[in-house]
Amino acid sequence: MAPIPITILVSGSPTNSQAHLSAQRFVQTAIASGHSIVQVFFSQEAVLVANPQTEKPTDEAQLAQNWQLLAKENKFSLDVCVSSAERRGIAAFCETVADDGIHHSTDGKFRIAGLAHLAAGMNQQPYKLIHFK
Amino acid sequence: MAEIKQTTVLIQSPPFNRISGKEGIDLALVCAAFDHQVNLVFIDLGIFHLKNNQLDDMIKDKLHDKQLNALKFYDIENMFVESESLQAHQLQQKNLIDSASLIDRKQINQLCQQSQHVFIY
Repeated sequence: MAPIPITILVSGSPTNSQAHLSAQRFVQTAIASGHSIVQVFFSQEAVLVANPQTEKPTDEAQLAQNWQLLAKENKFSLDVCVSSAERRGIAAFCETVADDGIHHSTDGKFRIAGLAHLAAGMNQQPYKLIHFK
Repeated sequence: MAEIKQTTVLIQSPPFNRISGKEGIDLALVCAAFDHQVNLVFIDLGIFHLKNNQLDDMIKDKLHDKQLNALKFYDIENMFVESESLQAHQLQQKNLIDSASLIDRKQINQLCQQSQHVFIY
């Protein structure tokens, strides 16, 4: 089977859902199976993972760091939905992305992006979107 | 760009105790702006987004019935409400804003089958 470029949509809370842990395991397995991850898009409660003021006990899963590591190693973008982030008070903590709708930065940092960054990708072929909520 | 993408957005959460519904409608609007054919479907407690005769004085928050009625101007022409959910809450189409058409669960299933993307909010 030819590898399919995959976009991951995460909308579950980093503290009250298993969404991020499951998504990260999926990403690792997908890459190990030869697929490529293009973009991880965080919306709704999931954007809270990008808040740098969050400090979790060191013996618990460090979701934000894990995302950044995965993104840097495998060259995919971590796009944080701007309207979700503004509602939840964390938009100011993220660096901005060029708003061209297709630009993906792959330096492993959380970036503010519009829903347009998700919808634009959906027009591509082949395309697979996996949602963790 | 190849053929037109069909995207179905199912709204199942109620209007006032979480903002999922609102965020789902945001996604539907953006998909429509990117030329997807969007099916916006209200099921379960999500049907209360469509209730007419709501008074914003009572809730002191923004109601989005006006936004929902205007969606056709933003290229979302297909707005549906599930008939089984209406019956379960003893509502009729006359209790809803005008722009939603009635379909049953089987038809919603077909919509999801023929869509490239399905989101549930």
